[in-house]
Amino acid sequence: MPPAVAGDRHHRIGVQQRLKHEPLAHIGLCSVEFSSLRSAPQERAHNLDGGDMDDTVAQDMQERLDDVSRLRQRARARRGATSTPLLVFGAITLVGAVLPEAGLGFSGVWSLYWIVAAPLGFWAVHRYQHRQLRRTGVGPGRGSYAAVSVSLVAGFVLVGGLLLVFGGVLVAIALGLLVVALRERNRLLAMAAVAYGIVGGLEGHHLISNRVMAWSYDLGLNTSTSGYFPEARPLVIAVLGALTVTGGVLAARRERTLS
Amino acid sequence: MTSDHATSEFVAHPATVLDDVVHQRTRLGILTVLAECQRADFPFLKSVLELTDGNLGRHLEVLADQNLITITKGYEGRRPRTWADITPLGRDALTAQIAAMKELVRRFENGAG
Repeated sequence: MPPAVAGDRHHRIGVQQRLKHEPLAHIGLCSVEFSSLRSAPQERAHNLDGGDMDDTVAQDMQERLDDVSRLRQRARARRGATSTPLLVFGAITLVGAVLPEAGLGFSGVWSLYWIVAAPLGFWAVHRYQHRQLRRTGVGPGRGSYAAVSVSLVAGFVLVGGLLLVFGGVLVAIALGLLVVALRERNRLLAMAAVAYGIVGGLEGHHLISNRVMAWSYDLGLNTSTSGYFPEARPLVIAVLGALTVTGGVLAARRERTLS
Repeated sequence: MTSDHATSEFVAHPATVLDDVVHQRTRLGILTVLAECQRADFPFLKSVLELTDGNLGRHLEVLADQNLITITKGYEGRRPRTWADITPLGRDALTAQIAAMKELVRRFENGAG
C-alpha cells in the first residue's frame, strides 16, 4: 500500500475500495490519513486496499443520512413550509365559495375576487415568511412565493380572459404551489397542489358540480323544477377549501411534533 | 485499457467525492438546515442543531472559510444578529456529499446482499 500523503490536515476516513477490473462490488475499510480530501481524490482512491466494508462505516453513513433527513424535516417544520400555504389558500378558497351565497353572484365581482386573491395569497405567504425570518431567525427556503405572485399578476394581464375562467384560476394557484413545492422538494405540498389542481381543473368544466347535481336528483335532495342546482358549484369549492384548510391544520400539527 | 478503466473507476467512486469539511457531522447538519431555510440566524441554528455557542461558531467559521456559507453580522434595532446563508457552492457540496453517502450505502448493501 502506497504511503499516505501527509499534509497539514489529517483526516481519518474509513472507506476502502477493492482494486479490480470488474465493476466495483465491495468497499473495504482501512484507516488512512489524508491531506485535504479535496486535493487528492485520486490519491485517496489509490490508497484504498481490498477487503470488505466495515459495518460501522456503512452504519455511520446511514446515520448521517438519517440525521440529514431528520434535520431537514425539523427545519421545514419550523418554517411551517407546508401548513402556511395550505391554510392561506384553503381560507381563500372557502371565501371564494361563500361569495356567491352572499349575493355577489358569478359576475365580475366574483372573478375580480379570484384575480386579486390568488396573487395576494402568494404574497401573503411571502410576507409571513419574511416576518418569521425577523422574529424567529428561520429563513424562507428556496420556494419563491413573491415570484409566483408577480407571475400570476403578469399572467392575468397577459392571458386575461382565459384565466378569468374559474377553473383556470384554481389551476393557476395549484401550479404556483407546485412550483414552490418542487423548488423546496416538499412532497406533501406538491401532492396537495396536484390534488387542488385536479379538482380545480375538473370544476372549471363543471364536471364535479354536474355530478353533484345528478346525485342530488337521484337522492331526492333537489326538488328544483328548473333542472338547475345553483348550490352545486359553491358546494364543490367549499369542500375543496375545507379540505385544503384541513390539510393545513394536519400539517401544522405534524410540524409542531417535528419541531 | 486496464489502467484507463481503473482510473475512470477511481474518479467515479463515491468515496472520492467525500469532503472532510462537509462530512463532519455538525457541519453536515449546518449545511442541511441552511439548504432547507436558505438563511438562518445563530440562535435558530443553535436551537435546531442543539449546539453550544462556541461549537457552532467554530464550525460556521470553517464553512465560511471554504465559501460554503456566508456569515453576516448586523443589528436589528439594538439587537445584534448573526446570519448564515448557504452559498451555491455550499449547496452543490452538500448535494454531492449526500449523493456520495447514499451511493456508498447502496454499494455496501448490494455487496452484503
